[in-house]
Amino acid sequence: MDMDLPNYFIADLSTENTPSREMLTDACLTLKRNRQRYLQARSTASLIRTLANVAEHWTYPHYPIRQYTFEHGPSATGFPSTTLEKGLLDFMSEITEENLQALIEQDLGHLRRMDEPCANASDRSGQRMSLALGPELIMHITAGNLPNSVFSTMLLGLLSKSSQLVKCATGTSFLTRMFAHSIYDTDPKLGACLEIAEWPGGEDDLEQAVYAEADLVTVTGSDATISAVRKQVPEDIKLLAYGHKVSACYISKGALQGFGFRALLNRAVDDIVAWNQLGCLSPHVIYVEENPELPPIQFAERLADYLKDREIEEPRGPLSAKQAAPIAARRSFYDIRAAHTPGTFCWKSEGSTDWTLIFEEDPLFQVSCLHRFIYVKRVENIQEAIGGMEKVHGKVSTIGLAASPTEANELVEVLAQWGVQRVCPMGSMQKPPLCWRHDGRPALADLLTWMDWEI
Amino acid sequence: MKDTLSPLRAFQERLLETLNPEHRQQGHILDQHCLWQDDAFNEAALELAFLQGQANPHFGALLDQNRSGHGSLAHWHQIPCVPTHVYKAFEWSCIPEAHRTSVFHSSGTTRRQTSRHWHSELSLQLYETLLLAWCREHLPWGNGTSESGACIFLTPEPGRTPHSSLAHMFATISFALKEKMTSRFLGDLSPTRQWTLPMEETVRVLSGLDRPVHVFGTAFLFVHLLDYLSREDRQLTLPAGSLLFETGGYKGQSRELSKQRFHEDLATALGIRRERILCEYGMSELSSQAYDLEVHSSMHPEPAGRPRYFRFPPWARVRVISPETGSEGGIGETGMVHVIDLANVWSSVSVLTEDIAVRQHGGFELLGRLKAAEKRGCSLLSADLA
Repeated sequence: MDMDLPNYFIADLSTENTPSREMLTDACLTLKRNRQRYLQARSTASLIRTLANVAEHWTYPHYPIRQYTFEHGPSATGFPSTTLEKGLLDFMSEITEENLQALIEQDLGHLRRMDEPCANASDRSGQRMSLALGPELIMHITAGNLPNSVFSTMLLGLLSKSSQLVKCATGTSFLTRMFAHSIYDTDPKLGACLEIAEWPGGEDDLEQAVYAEADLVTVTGSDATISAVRKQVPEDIKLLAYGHKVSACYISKGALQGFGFRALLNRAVDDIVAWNQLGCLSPHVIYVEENPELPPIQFAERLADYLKDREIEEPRGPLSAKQAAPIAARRSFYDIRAAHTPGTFCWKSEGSTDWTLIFEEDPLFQVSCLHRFIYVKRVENIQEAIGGMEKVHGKVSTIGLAASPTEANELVEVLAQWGVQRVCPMGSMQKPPLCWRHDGRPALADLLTWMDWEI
Repeated sequence: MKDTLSPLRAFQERLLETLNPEHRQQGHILDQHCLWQDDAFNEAALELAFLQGQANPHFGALLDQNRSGHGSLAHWHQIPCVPTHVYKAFEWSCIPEAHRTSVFHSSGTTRRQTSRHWHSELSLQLYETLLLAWCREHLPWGNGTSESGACIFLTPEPGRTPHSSLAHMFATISFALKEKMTSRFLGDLSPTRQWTLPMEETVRVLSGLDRPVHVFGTAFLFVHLLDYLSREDRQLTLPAGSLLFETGGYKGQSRELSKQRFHEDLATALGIRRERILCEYGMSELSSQAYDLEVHSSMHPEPAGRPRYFRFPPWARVRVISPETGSEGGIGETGMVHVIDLANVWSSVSVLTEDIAVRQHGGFELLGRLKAAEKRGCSLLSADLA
């Protein structure tokens, strides 16, 4: 790797050669040894301090790994520098001692739960103590370049005192490597319990080499990827799968009354431009309730202006022809639909595919082409929006909600009953808190096995 | 009510007249075709766009919206793009319902809505005439001197797949050759109506030939055949002068290979020179086809190693456009394939395909069909929902 950082990880070596089966087996055995030496007996408090330090380092403008990441990140990941910086710094700002402690309290009920058997105040009998133990070696199979999810999983893995091998798809390991380097840089012993490797998915021989050593496998990806991994992973290994999801926004009448709609428009743009809309927490559609203050069509028109302005401040960056082509094709289609279908409008950047906004009266959920391509749809109420989202039922992760306090409770209840797993204010869809229950499951507790000691 | 059909009919007649009837049966006649001339093509394309705008309210509205009604469009490059998706979402046709006699669907899984390209007796007459004219330019039977005695189609009998434009194309070729050559359709349909190939019979037929044969098939059926031959550890040797006609892509129904690898494997497994493999580019939404090689006869083989680019007939032109700007890139640049097809008299003169290609001198190099936005993230895309 042509960089100043040393080659600690397999993925630091030339990306042209995939690792061999023997190399991966050796790496797994080394990871397990290092865990035993450096991680297993370490206290949770010490881990929390170290991980918070790692994140804090990223907030220093002159931190060399940060500088290197921001310099080389755009060409390595395709994200423009503003998008990359904002996304990474937003993530790091969440990794504080307080938040890490809150996560453990939330998932395990006791800060020292992973250090020694301890009793909860809620355990009224007083005659049981419990200890939660992480696996010896976790294998993570990651999807694409979006780092938040894999960073979180790595942090949780370290908190659970597990060694970890992160398998990235070819050409997508850059940010994961930089994060791992920052852990190594902060605490080499902790870094020695991590390995990052790249190889094309479906190399059964290589994957089996890791499965043979791992106790737990996490996989993030499409339904097809997950189903393929599920078939591969031996039955005695625990598998945690996180499928691809979609998200949307919902804006109620009440949110558009009085003041504050400019802030709301800005927050909508924040959600659209975060990671250029590529994450599963990014909105495809913004549903706007019919209202007299700022009717949905006018909201859309204003939002188009805001997208145009934001493009100047935070450009989306170039796309390959293969990435831009679906946007061009979809735009041509909506040009035709808008020409003769009342209630369909298309606003877009001229001479580029930088941003696109389609307004439709039809509430049917549309899967966006991403890269800042957003649908705004008019609805009478939440039921109509849910009806429109039926085809993605079970695949909706987050709803970015803007509603008055009097409306919010009822809306959240309806969304929860329908199966939505996260509701958050608009503007923070891509910034889930550390204690977010990914896909509705306790992220840390999912990794652990409990031991109960009945006294 | 305004008669919008007669002008289209008259356009079709004029288009057919551009083919010298004496030469239609002979091949190698298109070098002097008038539509190779930019001026003539431009005039014809703009006229057809105007006429279609009159006959198809959807396209008319698009022209109005672009403030580019008749008179304001100066060049065929300015004709608005019509993505293939409109054939799914709209009744995109200039043929009144009562005149429609058949419809071609895009191939795709049954779960997806497919394109609908309607035809009438008149439009099929045009389609078939132009198809054969351009095909004759590329196949050795064009000048009537073919050494071949047989055509073998790896697809099902055309009557069993009435909505496939590819099957119709093969049926048209088969019918046109019936005086000279025998034809046989070997393909079958699975219970889910997927195209399949009875392997034992296919191999038996292909290995028992004593005269050159033309084998027509889709890429995925050829791959199925390759896989079968590999499993059986067999190689065939087609008689010298034979030719493979490959089209239609993989459709997700077989493993996918690079074009070079695919042709190398075909050449090895079937005992045929790579230069004798002809590729066709077409789709149900178009009425013209592009070919990537001129295979004249065994006496005039193409030199090996020559780059092979797709080329449309004189009545269709392609632009490889930048998706960002909509304008045509330079030689060697990658973009989307936009076809202006004058043979689409009754549907859409402008077709923006979902294919990505590199613009080359005199043609284009196909990189593949767009499945969905290239992903870097974890968001769900429409392809995942299909």
